[in-house]
Amino acid sequence: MNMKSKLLLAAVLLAAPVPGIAQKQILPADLPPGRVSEALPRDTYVTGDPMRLTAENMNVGERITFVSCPYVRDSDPTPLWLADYNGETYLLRAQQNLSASVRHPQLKHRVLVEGIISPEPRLGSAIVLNPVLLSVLPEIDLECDRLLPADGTAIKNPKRPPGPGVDGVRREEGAERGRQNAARLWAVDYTPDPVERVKREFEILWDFDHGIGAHGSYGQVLAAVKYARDVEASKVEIIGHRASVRLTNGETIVERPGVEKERAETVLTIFNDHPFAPGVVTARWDPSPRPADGVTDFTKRTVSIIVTPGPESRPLARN
Amino acid sequence: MRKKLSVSRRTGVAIIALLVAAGAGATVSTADNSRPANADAVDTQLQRSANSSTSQRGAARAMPPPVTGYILPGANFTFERFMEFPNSEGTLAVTYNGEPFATANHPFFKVRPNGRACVTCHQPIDAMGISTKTIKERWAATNGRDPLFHASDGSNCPHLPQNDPKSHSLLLEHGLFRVGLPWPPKDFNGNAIEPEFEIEVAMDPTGCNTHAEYGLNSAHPTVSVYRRSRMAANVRYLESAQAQSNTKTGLPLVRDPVTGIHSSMSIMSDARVTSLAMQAQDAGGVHMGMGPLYGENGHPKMTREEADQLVEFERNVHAAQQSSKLAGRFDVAGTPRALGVKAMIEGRGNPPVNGNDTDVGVFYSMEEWRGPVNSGNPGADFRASVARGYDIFFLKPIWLRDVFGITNFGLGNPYKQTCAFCHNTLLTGHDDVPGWMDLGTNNFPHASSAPELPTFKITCKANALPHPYLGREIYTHDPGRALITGKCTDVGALVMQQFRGISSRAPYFANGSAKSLREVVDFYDRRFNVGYTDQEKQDLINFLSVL
Repeated sequence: MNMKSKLLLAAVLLAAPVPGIAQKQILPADLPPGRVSEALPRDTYVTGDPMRLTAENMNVGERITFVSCPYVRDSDPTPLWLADYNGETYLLRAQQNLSASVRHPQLKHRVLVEGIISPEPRLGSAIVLNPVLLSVLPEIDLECDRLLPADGTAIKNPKRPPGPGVDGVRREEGAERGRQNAARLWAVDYTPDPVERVKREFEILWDFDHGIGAHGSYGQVLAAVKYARDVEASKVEIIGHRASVRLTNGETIVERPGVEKERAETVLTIFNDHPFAPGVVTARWDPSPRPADGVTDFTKRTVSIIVTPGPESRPLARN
Repeated sequence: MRKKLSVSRRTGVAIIALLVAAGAGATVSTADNSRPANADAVDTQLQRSANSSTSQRGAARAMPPPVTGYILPGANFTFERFMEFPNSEGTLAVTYNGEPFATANHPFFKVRPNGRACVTCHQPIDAMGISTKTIKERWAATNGRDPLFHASDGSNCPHLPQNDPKSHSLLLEHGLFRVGLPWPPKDFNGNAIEPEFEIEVAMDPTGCNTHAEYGLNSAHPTVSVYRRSRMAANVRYLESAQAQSNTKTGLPLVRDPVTGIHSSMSIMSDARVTSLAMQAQDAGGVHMGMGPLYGENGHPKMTREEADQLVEFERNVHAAQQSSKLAGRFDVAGTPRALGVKAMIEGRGNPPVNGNDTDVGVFYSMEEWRGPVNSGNPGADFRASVARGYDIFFLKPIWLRDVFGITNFGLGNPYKQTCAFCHNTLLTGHDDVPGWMDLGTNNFPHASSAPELPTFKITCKANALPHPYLGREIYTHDPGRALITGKCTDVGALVMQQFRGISSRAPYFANGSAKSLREVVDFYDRRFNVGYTDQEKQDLINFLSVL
């Protein structure tokens, strides 16, 4: 099964059945990408919780990259984030919570949309983007200020509608595990887990123009921290980058100067929260923006973490 | 030395004292006849314990009288295991999880260089905070000579004539103490931080920010902001965060420089301290005339050992509303589990629990008090209103909009959610995610009209990230967290407070801009364009009033 098929299958599997709605067994793969099939029941597969655009899934469909004002359509049970571009309306995502793999847009800010036109049926008039990346641009744009009333368009099966969650006990168990894992990783007398001791590079991807708080970046950096502790690293190099993006309309936009430094320092801060020996962890950054090619641009907004294993420590002799 | 109490308060506390001393199943309830049928038969275990303790102690040695009203620094009272004080809605309970002690030699009550003690601004009768009601009573009782009104921060500015109540108007009318913070800000090592913005004084009604000695352009550039004292009870719920990182920044939690323990950043309104001990030392310098936390002023600063003693005390103090004039006592069967001080003692505080889930609940469930809107029974109607208020708090979606610290870190702006999304911590209602947010209580255009407060103009540098919703030119009454970090995005952001004992410590918000719970609800209604009905507002008020 190729990646495209996996993706489409995942889209179907993610969509929970809609009670009371007859489900017609038509796979999204049967649909022409980005087109509406009036014969299909609307909303059958749309979850509104898209996958994150990655190097692995970036070729599963037609790419579209644009900057636009996002807007909100109120909806029951959860609001919808939309954007217009070149005469079409696109569904960016439905509102969820922080567990969503794709961040939400913000009014008062334009958004960089890097997505793939999904074969899922349109939601109302909106073309579904999935997978997608959404980067809120930091400068304020007061033109981006539309909050529309509900018009009947709705995600039938949102992953997480507004209001309290339903799994607090389970979440609390997860939080406790997280605290225990973190405490172990912070400990000076950390006992390494057995891993293959090789020089390894970790790449942390960032939203366009963002220097701190990349979505999920803390957990990704922690994976690098853990590896560095497991291999008793003799050297950890942190290298921040900034990049350019070629839009579908041919324009190129470039990340702001200095964001590469913020990224490197963010990662360095997380490493410095752990007891590495002085001089082991260093950070630097490259101020020149990586060029755009219109395909892999989103993979170039990175911080590279290169971990070099140290000599394996010998177990203490016991009397 | 005992303070003269007002007639009503004196009468109320006398009743409590008599009941406690008598060792009876003490109640001071003013409840109506709609209390649960078995209410009279159910006594509070806490009070029995307290009474037993008092009895045993009395047999062993003489103890000073119990706390019944305002406590002056150095005064000698017995800080009991269970104390109950009247307030406008019923009674407040304050408990101490330890042996009763005489206050005279305890560091929380000890007289400091400027005549104050910790207790000066953290009074048991006011839920370990201080209300404007008490502040006004102190002015009247002492003609303004109580150390509470010390020139350094108990007046609008030290240069003003101190015997004139107008010079203390912010404290008297809004419960606000002056907090003078160095500009530019300094880090934990005392090193200056290069701020991302310029700050100018746009309006200076107190005269302090433009004063030659105390102002922004003085020899020691200082920004004076005016803030409420926070509640020094239930603090063990505030000490740590639920997660191991700051979800809002993607960064590790800041470590306390002394202990190395990650901080919740929830202790002070601007999160400038990383532990309760550091807060004690900070307060010693800022509010009690001791040596400042960083630098010297001729007085020794509070030692860490003494600060640790204070922390140990504070961790064992809990407070919550204990009875309602309409709903009755909260230590009887049939009371929702979250109400009353016993819940605070028994709840898990460190690390806190996020209650924004239907299987937990920020204040568990109020099912016990559900009922029709107009039953004809005032007590039952009030209880039903509280239950509805909790539903509104917990379940009614509103559009949270333009809130730095909530809508800017991945959730979307606006974010359709409930009150409980931010006020999420089990039993306290503060935010379990560390950090601060710009709710709009300080920043224009959302701040309530407050011509008595200074107004600052903030101009962010071109190479700094702008405030996500207010841009690079901001007018604010209090730059908040930005006075600590120097970051433009932090302008106006403050750490939210817990809800417990709220009926005893008006006014509300860090800048005292809401004189009543009604004004709190009205602010949110206006800020987020909610459109609450009058009934919904009253339900919310009733719900808050019993916490």
